[in-house]
Amino acid sequence: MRLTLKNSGTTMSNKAMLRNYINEIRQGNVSAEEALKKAITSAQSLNKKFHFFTTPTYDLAAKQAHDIQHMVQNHREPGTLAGVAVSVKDALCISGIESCAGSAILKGYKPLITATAVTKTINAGGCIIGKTAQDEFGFGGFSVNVGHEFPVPLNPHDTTRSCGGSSGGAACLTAAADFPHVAIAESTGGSIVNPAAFCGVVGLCPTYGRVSRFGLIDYANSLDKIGPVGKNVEDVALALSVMAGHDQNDATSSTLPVEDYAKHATANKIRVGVIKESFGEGSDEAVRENVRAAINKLADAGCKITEVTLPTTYTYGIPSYYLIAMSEASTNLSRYAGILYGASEPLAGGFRDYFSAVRTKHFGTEAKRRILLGTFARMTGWRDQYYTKALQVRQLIIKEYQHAFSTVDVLATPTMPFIAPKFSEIKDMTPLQNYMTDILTVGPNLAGLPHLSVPCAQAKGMPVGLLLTAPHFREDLLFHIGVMHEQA
Amino acid sequence: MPITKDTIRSVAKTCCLELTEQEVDQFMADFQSILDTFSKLNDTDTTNVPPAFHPLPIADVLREDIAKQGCTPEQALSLSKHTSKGYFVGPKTL
Amino acid sequence: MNKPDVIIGLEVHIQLKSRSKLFCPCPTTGDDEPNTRVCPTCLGHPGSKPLLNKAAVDAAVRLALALSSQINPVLNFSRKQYFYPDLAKNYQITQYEIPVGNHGNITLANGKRIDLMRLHIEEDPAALTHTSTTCLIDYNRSGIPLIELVTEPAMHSPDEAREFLNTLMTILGYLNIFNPDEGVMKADANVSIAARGYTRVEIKNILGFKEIERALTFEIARQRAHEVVRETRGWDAAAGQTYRMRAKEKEEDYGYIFEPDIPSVNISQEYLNSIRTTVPELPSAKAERWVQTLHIDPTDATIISTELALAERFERLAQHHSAILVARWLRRELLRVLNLTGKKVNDVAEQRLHELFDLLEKKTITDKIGQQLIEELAKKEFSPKQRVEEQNLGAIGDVEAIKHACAEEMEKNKQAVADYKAGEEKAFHYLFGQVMRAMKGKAKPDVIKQVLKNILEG
Repeated sequence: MRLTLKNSGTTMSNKAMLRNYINEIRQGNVSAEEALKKAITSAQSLNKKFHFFTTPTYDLAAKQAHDIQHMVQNHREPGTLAGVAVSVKDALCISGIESCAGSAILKGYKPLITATAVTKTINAGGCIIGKTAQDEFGFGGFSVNVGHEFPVPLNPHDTTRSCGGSSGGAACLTAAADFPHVAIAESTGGSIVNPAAFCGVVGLCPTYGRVSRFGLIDYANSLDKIGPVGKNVEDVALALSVMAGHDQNDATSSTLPVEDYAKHATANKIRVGVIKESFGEGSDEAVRENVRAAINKLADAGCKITEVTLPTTYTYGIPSYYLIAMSEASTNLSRYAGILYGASEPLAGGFRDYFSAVRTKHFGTEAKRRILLGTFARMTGWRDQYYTKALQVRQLIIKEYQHAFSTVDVLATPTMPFIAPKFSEIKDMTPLQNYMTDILTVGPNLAGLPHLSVPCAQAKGMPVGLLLTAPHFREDLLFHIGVMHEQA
Repeated sequence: MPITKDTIRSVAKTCCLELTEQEVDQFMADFQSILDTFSKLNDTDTTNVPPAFHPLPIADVLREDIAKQGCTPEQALSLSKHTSKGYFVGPKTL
Repeated sequence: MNKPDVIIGLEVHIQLKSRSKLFCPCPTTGDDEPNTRVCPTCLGHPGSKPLLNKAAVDAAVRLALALSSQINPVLNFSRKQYFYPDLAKNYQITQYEIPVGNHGNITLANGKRIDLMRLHIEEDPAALTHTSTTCLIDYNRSGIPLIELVTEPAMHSPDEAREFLNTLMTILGYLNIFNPDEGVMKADANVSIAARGYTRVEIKNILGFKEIERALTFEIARQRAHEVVRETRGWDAAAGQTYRMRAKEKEEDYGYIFEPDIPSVNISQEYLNSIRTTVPELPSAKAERWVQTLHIDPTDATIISTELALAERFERLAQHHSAILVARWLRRELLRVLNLTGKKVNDVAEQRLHELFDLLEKKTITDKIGQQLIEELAKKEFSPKQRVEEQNLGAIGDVEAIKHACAEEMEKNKQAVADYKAGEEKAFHYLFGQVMRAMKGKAKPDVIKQVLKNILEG
């Protein structure tokens, strides 16, 4: 099935849609309650087609819309996202709402806490419309590694193809939505920009620590970042400005003040470094051509294009990333053992028997694979050459990026080496082949650098993403060049 | 580095997972190819390179010693199927 | 050098005194009903984050400084991962590669120095109550801050191990980082004996320093009587014996990784200096100084130094009175009556002790009367000076009155007089006691002795 979407292009009217909508809500010209009613009806029918929700929260959205409406009527400040439907990746906890990170081991889990990013969004007037589908705990790039009975989202451009992952549901809904909406997604090794590229929407993974991770069901704590997905750069900038900022509940969240993203950076001649290795043989010819064309347009718009090389990142990024991510993940997932919350089994046998019974039954295969590999990588005798070595190589990669940013302002590559694959193709991929597909995204994720994927063209009728990476805390620069790209 | 079935079984035991023989075979093959590829990390010279625990330096974040009530026992216990008289009930340890 | 017969090393876990837990604001004390002092962090809920308590770091650094440990410039935390029902996350946040402090030592009362290996901060697991088929879990204890202190295998008798814990307890009291009423101190001991080729046995979870001596004494006797294998044993305090828990073929693999939710903590010189000003002179140093400069009895010095409040009181009182007298009275009399009444040092007003020691020093009252007064003081406050005046308790040196009493008592105790004359020295003490009793303890003892001797031998 091939679908042509009304809003998948980047027309000017589309760009200002969210901003105009919010203004209408704030001024009381449009009723938030009515708008959300429509959005919910639409989301219900779209979800039947594309399966982007693990748990819809229509009642919550309707109630929040009612509150916004009430505030507007009483001339109280309804917030900068007033009346916007917001979807939340399943991995972010919302108090009282089933939050499972796509895993059967958390089926039915209703946390006591709400992720700070969600709280801030709600406080800004966002209406939470549902929890979006993802690979279990973020373990995958195609949203097919879902827990038992969890939905696999389908690409709105071609439902025989993947949405990408792990924030597949977030990008899927963003692409499909015909109502004002932004998504809150999460990336560990590329899970925001990957589905954004495959679904033809904009995804921003911010600097590590820019958005609080409090309330995020951890995959790998030293890599996890929460960020927005939207139809265009402006929407994403707006959503980030709401979510970002210091949070005393997350010791790793940054205390630096948040830039005014609406203003964009003022840069005269942006120096764009094209990473040589990202245009190698491993990627699709059509993808490379389209991304080169997009970069040439940036040159036409006044950017200075140079070529840079990141050999360490491109040779060692994948192993360094996976070893760190799996090591951390395997400890994070040890807590799922059927005592305090989540799936459980009848108590029988010794504690090892019981824990094994719960974990064996309720973890999916990829989760098991990563637990096994992560446990192995930190075992005595192997830790030095895998876990610790990976952290040292990460240091080299961070340094390599620092060096690159001494001569350029922004780095450019394709977001993914190919267009969204068909489910039939994914089935034949080995785990290692799966991991290798993250080659373009693990670098900025390891180094905690903000990176933005913008749709730049279509290849074989499917969207292609351009990935832009900036130095730490230069999200403003990414939005600036992202808008340049949209207008080019 | 050869990965044997026993390696997989021993790792699985450490992380409380039971594997079928078929799974042991599958994961053994996965381990072999993945670790072969990952081992190339050891080609890098990391002498005197400190491990990067975080992507950017973060340090000295401490909390003042102020006590505050957390959640109620009812809230905590409501998430579990195994509770009794205010306690969580776990598997036996002996 | 001869190898010692017994080798003992200790791993001590001390619950730190703090208002809130190590990584969350839950109270450390209060409601003891199960699971009443918990939150998503100490219950290990996904999405919760540990937030390091500054007071725990301060306390650990204070102890490390007091024990002359080498303090590391950066603190990191690690995840120690293993499955057990008392661990909310099935990993414990602890310190691995780089602890707060390495090395350091504790000097025992007999002057022996016990070297330490390391000292680090970690979280306490939940408390388990075992039933035959399950365990009941109370997470109130989950996340209480602990210090783990590991000694070199440097002790050679159960007595020394007890003495070590005793001294450590005293130091913790001085530093005000441990509350003996609320907090728990637990030890794991490793013990081996020469006769068994020093095959090491570990004994887990020995509660408090009174148990350590019992457990080790039992275990050493067991090792002398039976074959020894490398294993981990438990201590059953009720049965008074150690029991086998598990074989220890190889070290358990905890798969330590760095805890990514807790940023490193830099220990600057400035910070160390600020903590150093809060570390008082330690008991062993105090005792030694008192013996050297105030010439008090070494046993008195050691005993008085074990409690900070008592030590401080001694130092203040000794500025106004004979240090030897103060030391003797604090140790023998004050501690005796406190023991008797279950009161604390500060329950007896210092001003009243001043008065009492004044009366004693000027020999206005006898020791006997002093003892009576201090007993009364432990029960209720009053002015000893006033009481002595009101109740006419002053020492009697009146020779005529004493002569009279002696004559009366000799008359009543003819047998004793005869015994003395037959050469029994003991009879003299008996007669002395009788006279003192007749004089209600108020007679000056040296006068009684003089008078009595004169009459008997006259």
